[in-house]
Amino acid sequence: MGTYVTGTDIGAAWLAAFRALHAQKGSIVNLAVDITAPMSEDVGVRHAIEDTLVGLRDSHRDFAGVQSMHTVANTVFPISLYRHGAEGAASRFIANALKGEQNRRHASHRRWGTYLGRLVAYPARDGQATNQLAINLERLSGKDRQWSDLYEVPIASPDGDHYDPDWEDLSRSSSATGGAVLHGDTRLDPLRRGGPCLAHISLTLDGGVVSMLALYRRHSYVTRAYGNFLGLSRLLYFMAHESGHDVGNLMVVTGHATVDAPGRANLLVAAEAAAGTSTPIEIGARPLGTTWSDLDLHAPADGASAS
Amino acid sequence: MTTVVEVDAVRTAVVQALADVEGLDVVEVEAIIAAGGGDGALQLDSKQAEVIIAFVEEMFGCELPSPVDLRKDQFSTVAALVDLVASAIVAPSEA
Repeated sequence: MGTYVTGTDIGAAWLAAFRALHAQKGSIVNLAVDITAPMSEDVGVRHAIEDTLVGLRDSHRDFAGVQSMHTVANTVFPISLYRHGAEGAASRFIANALKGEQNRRHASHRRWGTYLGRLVAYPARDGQATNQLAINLERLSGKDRQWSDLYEVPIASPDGDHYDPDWEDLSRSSSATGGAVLHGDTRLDPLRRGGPCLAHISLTLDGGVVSMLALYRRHSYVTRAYGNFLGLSRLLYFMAHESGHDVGNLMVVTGHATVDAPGRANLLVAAEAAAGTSTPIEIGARPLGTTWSDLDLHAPADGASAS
Repeated sequence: MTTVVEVDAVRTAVVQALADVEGLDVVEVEAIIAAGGGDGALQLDSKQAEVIIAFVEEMFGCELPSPVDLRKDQFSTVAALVDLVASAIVAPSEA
């Protein structure tokens, strides 16, 4: 049987999921987490997780490379590249993301790539790169005449099948679905571990509100989940705001949710004690010249790598 | 390919790239840098640094390290980026 939990903000939803994971000894098959107000988070919960990560980093060799929740969120949607409210903010974000991928492509630690890379330069079947972010944004915006006329179009495959109408929804003019694929095919992504865990993002526009469904094959709830919720929420805001719509809810479904670190009970106690203050998430770049250091994990003894 | 340039040209390129990333004029960026305490004080996020480096790679026709392969102190300020690029492409007598 699958497990469903819900929370108003990112922190409450993470905490609900973590309680369920703790009750099931740190492992749940098919976990659905519904975040009803993804533009808010609980910084108390976030700091409790990061304090745990600092302790792990400083005491366990296996956790030497853990990242702050901001850094994890950056892998999905880096807010430093989104000058929210500026003219041409969406196109500049996409252009910057593509530019950054050029540098990342020859990095030693590039591995399979990044989620952001898959969003703006998905390796398509024809050998070209598909800019899923731009395609979905244009369709959500209704700027594409063909899309506006054929409003019910599933985008399950980013590089094909866009123009097949969804016959079940043809009569509903205020509803549409969009999708972004993060996995390559099994030939491109053969790694059993270390490959992309986020597999698919679906966007639904209904009544002027954009909601998101994200599918993870596996999700680590200590080192990654809160940061991923944050990144997905920022991506959701970007897609909704830049297409002229409101933000709906975020649902994150995971095939195998795990507690990937020791000290599960202690983290649960700490997070519950720290919870209770809901604050808006940051959705865009800070003014140039403002510090980013407060979003790092506490400084290690001898420096750390970037995301 | 290694391109031989001067340190001043590297700084100019880094600031131009930062302006491009931010959608600002170079003059505005220079004013923000000056107001914030100089090249060593203006902090950059790793993603900003990644894009700036990509711009600079294109300007000089070279390949530079990515933030994912670097320590934070090697890319997190304008001064650090200038040092990073200069160490890769500036002629030994200029570096």
